[in-house]
Amino acid sequence: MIEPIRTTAAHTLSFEEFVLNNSIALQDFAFLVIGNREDALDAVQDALIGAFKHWHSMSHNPGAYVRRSIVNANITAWRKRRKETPTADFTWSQSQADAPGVETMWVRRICGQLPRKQRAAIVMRCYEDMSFADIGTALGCSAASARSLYQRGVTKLRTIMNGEK
Amino acid sequence: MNTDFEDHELNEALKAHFSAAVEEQPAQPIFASTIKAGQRKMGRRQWVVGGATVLAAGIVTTLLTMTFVPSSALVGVPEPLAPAPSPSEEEDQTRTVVIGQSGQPADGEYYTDPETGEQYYYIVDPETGEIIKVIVPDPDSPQVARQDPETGQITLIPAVPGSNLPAPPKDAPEIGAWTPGPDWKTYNLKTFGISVQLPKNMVAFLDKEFDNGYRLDTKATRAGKDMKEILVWPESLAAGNGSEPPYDLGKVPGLMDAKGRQVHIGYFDNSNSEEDWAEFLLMVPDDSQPGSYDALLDFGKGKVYFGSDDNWMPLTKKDQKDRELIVAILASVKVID
Repeated sequence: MIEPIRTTAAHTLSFEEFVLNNSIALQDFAFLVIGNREDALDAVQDALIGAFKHWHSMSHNPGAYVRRSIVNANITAWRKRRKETPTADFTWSQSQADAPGVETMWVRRICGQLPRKQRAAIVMRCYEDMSFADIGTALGCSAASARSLYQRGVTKLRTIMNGEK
Repeated sequence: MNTDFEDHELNEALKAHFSAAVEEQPAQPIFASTIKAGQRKMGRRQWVVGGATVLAAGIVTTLLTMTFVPSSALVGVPEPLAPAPSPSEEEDQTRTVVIGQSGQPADGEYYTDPETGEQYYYIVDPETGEIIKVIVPDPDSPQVARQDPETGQITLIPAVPGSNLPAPPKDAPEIGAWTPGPDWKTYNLKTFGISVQLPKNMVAFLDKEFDNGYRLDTKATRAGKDMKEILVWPESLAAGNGSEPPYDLGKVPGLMDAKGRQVHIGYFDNSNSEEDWAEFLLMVPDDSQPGSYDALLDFGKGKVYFGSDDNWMPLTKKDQKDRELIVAILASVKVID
């Protein structure tokens, strides 16, 4: 039955400490899931704002909370983007230094073909070496579900990568 | 953890690509001064609703401006909180208000209106991104919201227990057509407190590797494209927690839960979503929240996911034979001592 959830914070980090300790990792995670630094920064920003709101009632694992927010933010952004209709040609005005590199383009091209949760599961597993239990916590599903997401994603990636050879 | 199913070579290749991509565009650290500045900015935008602090979407200034704030800006007299928003301001934030729409709060919080005592939470429309304020139904005058799976239209209807089940999909066969075959084997799964019947090319076993003994796999004994797997694991997932209510496919004859409630078969149809999958479950109507369901398996809550093992592609509503198979399996589930 629905009732307000208020739990005592079990984690001992202050919000500042959490951000200081995790800001790079969270941005990298968001970047690999989303595929672009600017959107990743926005997603991390929104996720941290959400975490800050609930910091004192967050029972444990704020990293999982923030990662889930990042994935959900990515979903929202993707859905919004899908509905947008460009009205004029886009002019690329960024400097060459900001242009995505070869590997960034690879991540976008290859991983971009996966559903976002599969993408997130793969990044957490392969890049962040997280357990399936932790991935499940971050994605709001069971460990078995996380493993399933990961395995389906890897299977698809293997097919895509083999097709490129 | 058993990772035999993992392709370590592929994992390493992916990690190398990910690391290289990250190094191409390194992230900038977020400094304490930026955090403090962000917190102060957020503090000016807070207001209190029913004891819960809420931030208005869209008006919160950025936490991570990546701009260095002079330390002098971090001291001084704290600025007062902004006044609570007027109802019209809040209405602007949440363009749609529904009553009893199932769904999990987007921010994990439930709120209480200090004046009316009304409980509510927010969800995000998965299609439009629209923030929807959901009012928890008053048990004395309940209403339920129903979302048309085709049009997405949400309508409110009076809640009458047992009469607000969503209509079965038009192309769904009658439940009576889904019966176990005569040569199916019966498996007694005492850990779950259930028995289940399976086709002869499938076996059931408990898999304790990934979910603390709470997973049941049924796999084909032969490899090949037709190999199927069913994952069943108890978890705190109530049916109806998705963005749409589950379809009620009908009652399972003779199957009651531990409280004596008639068990139904339902499924979430996500076949039009990005991931394109469907999810079947045993469920019972939730009398405390008419129109909603408790997912059920093994006297508790559970979730059933169906996919094919060879490629992990999910079942879709187009896979009529697969759907009939899984529903037949579910319909064979009996509670045992």
